[in-house]
Amino acid sequence: MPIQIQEINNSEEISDCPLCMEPLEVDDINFFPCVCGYQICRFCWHRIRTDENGLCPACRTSYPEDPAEFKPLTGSDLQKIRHEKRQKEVQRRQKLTDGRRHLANMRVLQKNLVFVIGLSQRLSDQEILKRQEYFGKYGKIVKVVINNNTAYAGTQGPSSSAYVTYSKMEEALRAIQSVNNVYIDGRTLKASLGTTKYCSTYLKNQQCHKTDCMYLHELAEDDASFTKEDMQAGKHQDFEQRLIHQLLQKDEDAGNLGSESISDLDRITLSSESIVTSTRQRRHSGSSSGSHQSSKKGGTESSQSSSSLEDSRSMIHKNDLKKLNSSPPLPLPHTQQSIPPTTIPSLQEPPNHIEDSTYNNEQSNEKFQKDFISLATEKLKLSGNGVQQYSPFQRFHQNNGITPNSNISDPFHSLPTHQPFLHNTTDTTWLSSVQQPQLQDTIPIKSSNDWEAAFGFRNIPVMTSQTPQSTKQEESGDDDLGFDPWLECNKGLADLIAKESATSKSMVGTWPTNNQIQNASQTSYFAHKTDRLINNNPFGLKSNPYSNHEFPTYNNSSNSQSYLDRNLSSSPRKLTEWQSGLRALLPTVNINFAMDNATSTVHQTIRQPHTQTQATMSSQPSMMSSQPSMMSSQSFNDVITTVYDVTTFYDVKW
Amino acid sequence: MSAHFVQKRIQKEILTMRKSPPPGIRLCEDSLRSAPEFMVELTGATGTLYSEQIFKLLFKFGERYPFESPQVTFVGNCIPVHPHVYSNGHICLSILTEDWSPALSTEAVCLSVISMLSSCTEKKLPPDNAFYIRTCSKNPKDTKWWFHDDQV
Repeated sequence: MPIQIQEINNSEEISDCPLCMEPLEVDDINFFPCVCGYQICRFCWHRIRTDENGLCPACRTSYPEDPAEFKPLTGSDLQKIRHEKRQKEVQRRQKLTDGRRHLANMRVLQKNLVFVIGLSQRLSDQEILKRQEYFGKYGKIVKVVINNNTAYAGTQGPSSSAYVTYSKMEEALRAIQSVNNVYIDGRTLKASLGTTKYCSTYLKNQQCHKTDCMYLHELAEDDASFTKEDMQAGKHQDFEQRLIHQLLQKDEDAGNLGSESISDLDRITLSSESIVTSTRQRRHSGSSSGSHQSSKKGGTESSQSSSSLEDSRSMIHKNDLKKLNSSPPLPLPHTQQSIPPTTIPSLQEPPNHIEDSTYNNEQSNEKFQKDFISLATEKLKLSGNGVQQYSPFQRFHQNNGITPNSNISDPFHSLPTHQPFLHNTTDTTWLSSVQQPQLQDTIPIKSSNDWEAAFGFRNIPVMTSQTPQSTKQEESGDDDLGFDPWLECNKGLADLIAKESATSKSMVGTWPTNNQIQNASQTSYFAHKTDRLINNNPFGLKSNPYSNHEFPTYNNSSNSQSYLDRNLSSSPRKLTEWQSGLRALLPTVNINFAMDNATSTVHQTIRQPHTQTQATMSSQPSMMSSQPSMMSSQSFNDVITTVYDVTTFYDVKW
Repeated sequence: MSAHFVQKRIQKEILTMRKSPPPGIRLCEDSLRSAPEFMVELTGATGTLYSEQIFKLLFKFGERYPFESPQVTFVGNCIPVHPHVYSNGHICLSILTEDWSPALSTEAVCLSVISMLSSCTEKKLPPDNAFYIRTCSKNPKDTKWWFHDDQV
């Protein structure tokens, strides 16, 4: 019992009721129901007397009928207390408001906000700016606000400004780097980090009721806050430069992690190489799970054990062999003209392919594209030097491409508008149904179609012409270019695809029509999503280390050796170089190469130590989705990013 | 209303225990869940039979807390051997049932339990332990306690 009282006395200093912990009301202040002096609120007192045992919690004597001590406060006392209370509240508010008053003149640099000026009328539309070809490409856009006030026009005529809010600082900085000083629609864009001010409600210490209020409602960091004088002195620009510098530094660091010894271009190549391997593994899982969901035929196939899967594959393989009788691992529907081999690095080939083959269809358009693409690839080629100064857009792309581990948010994940790119289902299914069987142990060599697919040259058109849910087509409708690049490309490329499929149909009996593929793979879209990404593996990149070799086409390759095999056998030195390069690039990964010249296949395995799937990797397709492929997806994404940026580049350049 | 102030009261008790835990009493932070229950670690007072031994007390609060006592039991592997503590963790302590007062708190209960342990002179199970643990309900408060002696 003594313990209890001691406890009570401790907690009694606060003017809360010790039982319900509610603050004592004015009426309760002088209310002591028990002779022991234990104070509780009248609410609890009433409850104890009616619902409980009626004993004082402290002394356990029953409460007397009337409170032992209760002197109701006099009117003046009450007044006084209330006044004091109010005074206190006012003081508290005043203090807060005073503390915030100086913030009214503050402008706070927002690290994820890009302020652009010099936008033409055409571009001054939120939706247009959000698009992939404009600001959407740099990251996830949270909000775009257009200011049509022409005060910023300067000498260039009427223009608008816009505030683009990104989800991350990196995205905003990259956007600034790329967009600043770009000449578009007759105007030079100027971009910088935007500033904002404190919301007036915040300054008054009130609740802001605006939904989505873009002004600040909390104290910002000191570094990013600038007075008008600071701004005039350009301090905020210094700050911005510092941020950009930091970002670049970070990118560089990340890039240097790879390997200093290999050139940047090699690095791209190598990372793509590693992806190819994982692609092969991924494709196993992709095809089995994908077909499981989609077609009945595929379903039965996948329900079989993996060994029977292999069997069925090799059956097809034989079929294909018979039918082709020439170059089994070679791309089947590949009908493009061959490329002048030695002069052009392989990286450049696929764009040319696509150009050549579509040139007839859409002359003027394709010509333009060709110009652009060859330009872009040239830039890409030169990007090893890293210091080439083209337009800021390009500089950005290059940076992006040559830093395998940059902190750039991966466009595939962050950008919904990339979906078209991911969306092409045709290639995947085609690959898994036709190519895969042939490539059991060979590094998958795919046609330049794959290259194009990976780079989005072909995919997007295919997708737009075939998948109704694509929004690309509708979007491009309101673009006042006089013609629609997407549509034009689509037409040309759809023809190309038709041609291809016709050719391949004549070559391979099992070659499905585009529609079939579409249907079959539509349902397995999600299952395939990642696989597809990797499946769309660039052949061009693949062949990069052997860029001096002639690019084989279906027509001129009459022997049964694969392209890569020939390459490898003819340049073992390069192979070892490349292998060591790959190892250097992925230091944490155990990479084994085994070359079997007798069968003319290259078996490449990338294994990650401590992976549970290690043993089952090659036999259990369903396990493939784990580590090994993840490992290379980073670098792969970088490659794709580079290339993707090249493809999207011309959109801005129009 | 009542649920609100039960919460408030429990929170307040937790806060006090966290801020200034009495010696030998430690709140198990990881046991704090949304459910109105938590665990407290008791360390036997030095110089007693249970010196430096660590026991865990589980507190479960009902909706009528603090006008009704919480369920308090020893839990875990280490249940003190004590004439008033059954081997299933139930405690025969008057303030946990009929002598409960809303003025008591978790802390007060912990202190009472520690003092109960401290005043023990011989480590032995309650005389009716075997029978009790076979027949008792899960909730010690359902037991009609027969308080063996008031000295311990």
